[in-house]
Amino acid sequence: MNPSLEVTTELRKAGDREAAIVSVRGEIDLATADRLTRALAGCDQAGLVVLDLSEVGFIDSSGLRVVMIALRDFESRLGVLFAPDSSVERLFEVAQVRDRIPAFPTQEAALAALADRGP
Amino acid sequence: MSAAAPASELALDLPVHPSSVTSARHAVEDWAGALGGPTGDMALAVSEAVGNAVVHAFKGRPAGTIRVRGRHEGDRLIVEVSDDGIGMTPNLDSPGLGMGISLISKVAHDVRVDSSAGGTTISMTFEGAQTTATEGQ
Repeated sequence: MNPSLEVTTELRKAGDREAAIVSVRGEIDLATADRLTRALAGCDQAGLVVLDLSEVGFIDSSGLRVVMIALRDFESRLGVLFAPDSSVERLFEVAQVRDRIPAFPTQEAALAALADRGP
Repeated sequence: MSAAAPASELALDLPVHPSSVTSARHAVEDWAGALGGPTGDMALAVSEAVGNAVVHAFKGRPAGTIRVRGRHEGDRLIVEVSDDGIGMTPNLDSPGLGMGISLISKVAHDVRVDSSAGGTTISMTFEGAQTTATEGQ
């Protein structure tokens, strides 16, 4: 069985800063989490990073680890999107990290809020 | 002609490879879904259990087999993930934050772990499945 995960990175301008939008579609588990890790590693020079998990159908602790490392590495430069009542939200709640995730409803909302915070 | 009843049991033997996490999860989702079980939480639990086996069970020894067995009892679905590996030992390099068992315990009705030098079995019980038909009905 081929693991199914698509990760795309788009660069945009947000104010005077460069923003990386990392969009993820599919399932994040032990077989696929490394792809997300590599994509986020490529964003280290970005002023802002938006991690869009709204089209993720499944995530386990392998994926949670990637998200938590991104939170540590990007700090206030990171915004995260996920669908309500999704596997992503469920995992954040079960793992008791929901309140630590900088969540936004849309990419535009995330970019606007993060850009306002300044460097 | 009556429709075939969903399989009451599930049996998988898997290689020690990350893709087995995906295979096991999808198989359990399909099996549990046909029986009305909580597929989301079961998917997470099985993913964690099989992932633990893939990452930890065979360190320092040749890879063996990961077995996934499921059975339907009343309104419960019981899934066992077992390996013939080294048993559970402390590990500081876990790729999943070391949260696997903790997550399983939060989404399953009951979790039992049996670990020895001959391997590990994680038995997980989930409620909410359609009740099995009784004899004579």
